[in-house]
Amino acid sequence: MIYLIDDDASVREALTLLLSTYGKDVTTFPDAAHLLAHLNKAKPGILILDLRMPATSGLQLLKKLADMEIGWPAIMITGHGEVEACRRAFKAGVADFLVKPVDEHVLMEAITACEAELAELLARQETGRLLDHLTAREREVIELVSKGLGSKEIATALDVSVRTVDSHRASIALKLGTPAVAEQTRIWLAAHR
Amino acid sequence: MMKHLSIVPMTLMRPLVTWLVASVLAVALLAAFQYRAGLSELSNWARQTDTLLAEKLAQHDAHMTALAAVIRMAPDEPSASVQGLAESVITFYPRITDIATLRIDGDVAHVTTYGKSTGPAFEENRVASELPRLGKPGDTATRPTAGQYTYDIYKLVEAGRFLRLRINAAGLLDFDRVPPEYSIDLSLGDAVLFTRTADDTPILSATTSFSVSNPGQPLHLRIRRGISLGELLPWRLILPLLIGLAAVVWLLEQYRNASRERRRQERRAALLEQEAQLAHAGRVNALGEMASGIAHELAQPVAAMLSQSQAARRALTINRHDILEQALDANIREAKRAGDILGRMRAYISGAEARIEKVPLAEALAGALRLVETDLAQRGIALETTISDRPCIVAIDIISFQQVIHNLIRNAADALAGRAEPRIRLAARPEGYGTVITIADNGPGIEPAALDRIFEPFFSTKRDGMGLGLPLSARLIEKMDGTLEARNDGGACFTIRLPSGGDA
Repeated sequence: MIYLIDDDASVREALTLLLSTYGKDVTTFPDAAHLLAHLNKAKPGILILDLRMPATSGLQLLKKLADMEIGWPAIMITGHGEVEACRRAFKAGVADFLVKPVDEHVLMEAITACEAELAELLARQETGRLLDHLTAREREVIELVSKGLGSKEIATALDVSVRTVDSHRASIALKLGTPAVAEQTRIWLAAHR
Repeated sequence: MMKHLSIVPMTLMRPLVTWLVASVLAVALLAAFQYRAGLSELSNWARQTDTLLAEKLAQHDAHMTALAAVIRMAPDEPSASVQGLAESVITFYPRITDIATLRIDGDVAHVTTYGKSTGPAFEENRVASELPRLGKPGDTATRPTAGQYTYDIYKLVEAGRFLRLRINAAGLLDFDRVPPEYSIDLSLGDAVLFTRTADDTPILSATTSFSVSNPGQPLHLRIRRGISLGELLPWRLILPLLIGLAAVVWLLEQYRNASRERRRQERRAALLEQEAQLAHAGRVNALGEMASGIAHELAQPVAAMLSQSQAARRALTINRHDILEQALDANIREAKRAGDILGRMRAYISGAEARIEKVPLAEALAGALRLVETDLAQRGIALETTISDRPCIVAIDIISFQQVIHNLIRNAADALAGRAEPRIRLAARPEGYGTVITIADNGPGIEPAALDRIFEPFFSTKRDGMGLGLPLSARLIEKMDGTLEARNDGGACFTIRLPSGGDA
């Protein structure tokens, strides 16, 4: 899903049409207020926003979204190549900063990059949620597992019996939905990078 | 003093004081010059008189020498030869009033006078001891005579024989040639031989005195020269001097005023130039803003067109006819929008050439109002017009004027959207030498912060405004030598001032 916020109707219409030819699903908003009113946190997407908008600027909108803990990848578009605004946009965490008129390929490249970023973000959020179910002891165990330690070594390190370690590992396999050490390691590392 | 002087205008004070000071100085200088001239005249006269007197006294010496020689050759008296010489001397030198010989005879001196036409005569005898003591023959002595303006010169001819010449002191000087302002004292020792005092009483005087260069006759002359006020300050010179000074001061004052005026004009010219430079800077600045505004305005349709064109290109690839059509339609629309922006921009930049003509104001206004009446009626906005009955001619470009009125009324109508009982009042009335037209609405008015900026290009408070309507209107009115101002009065109120167009 792409969320497009631009105060110019023609620009909104044109970008929507262009992106639709790439099979992209675009939802448009004329300003920040409309976006905030209709935003569904459960439907994450890529943000394409105009830097210069009346009332709330693109940068201000990003700040508001950050306050709401929405860190979706964003592409800033502006009619002017303002260096200062560009610098601040990157500091605010935008993925790309494009100057109007925006070239199709540049835009698509930026969108592709954002899609990858979004997928990763979603994966991280997903694994994060799986790890939430682990107990404190189980976290200690999986951390050592991800470092390549065997049950015996873990038992020595945590000063518990091997049986206890094995029982924790069984519980972890159940909660993460996989007994494979490699997959467990991937989930753990994804959340703790 | 000041109070008294305050009746003189300040502009006159300065030259007046200058003239007074200059006059006093000039008069003082003139007086000093005159005084010096008087002194120099006195000293010249004294020198001439000295020469003259010395000459006359030398004549006395010469006569005495000649007479003494004749007397010596005439042991018996009275002598005819002495009488002959003495007579001719007295005839030619009337100031020598008396020539006599004195022969000492014990205590008595026998006096014989010569030179009278009646012949030699014996006078009364004199006491010998009264005669001056002269050592050797040829010695002389001079004595004033008591009570008369005369003095005697005694010469010892030979032992026991004296020659005496009596001189009338008044005859030494030619009084006709002595200037009347001169006072003269001629004295011999302590005795004053002759005195003449000038009649008038001068305010200044100079005195010089000298002893005549003749050791035998130690005459002393004292000359006092009086200088009268008229001589010191001759009106014939003073009057033209004062008038001349007044003329010079007046000319100087004129010159000063002229140069001050020139300086003021130079300053004003410099100021004007500075203003022109500022205005130029302002225009350059406005140009920068305009360029920025153009970029911003055009960026939207161009961005849209690029995306639409690329979408159309993609539509061909994915074989979507509907998208192609939609994109092309959008492009046509966007291109028109860009063209419209450029058109407005061009209208602002060129301002179109003004064609000023004299038209009745009421007629021009009626034409403009016809254009908006329908629109206002549809929006339910009341338009109240108050146009002065007095026929009024304005010099305007009628198309531009109507465009401005149209702009202002459209602005007012936009501001009134969604307001209760919307109303626009248009009033036109003559004022001073021109005409004032006000267009006022009862809308929300202009934000105070925006009030200063609404005539700047690309400043707009409207969502889809380009910010050119009011700057363009102001420029058009300025081209007609008028002004356009904005203020808040209930709602927004715009005032157009136009100069009088004179008679039709």
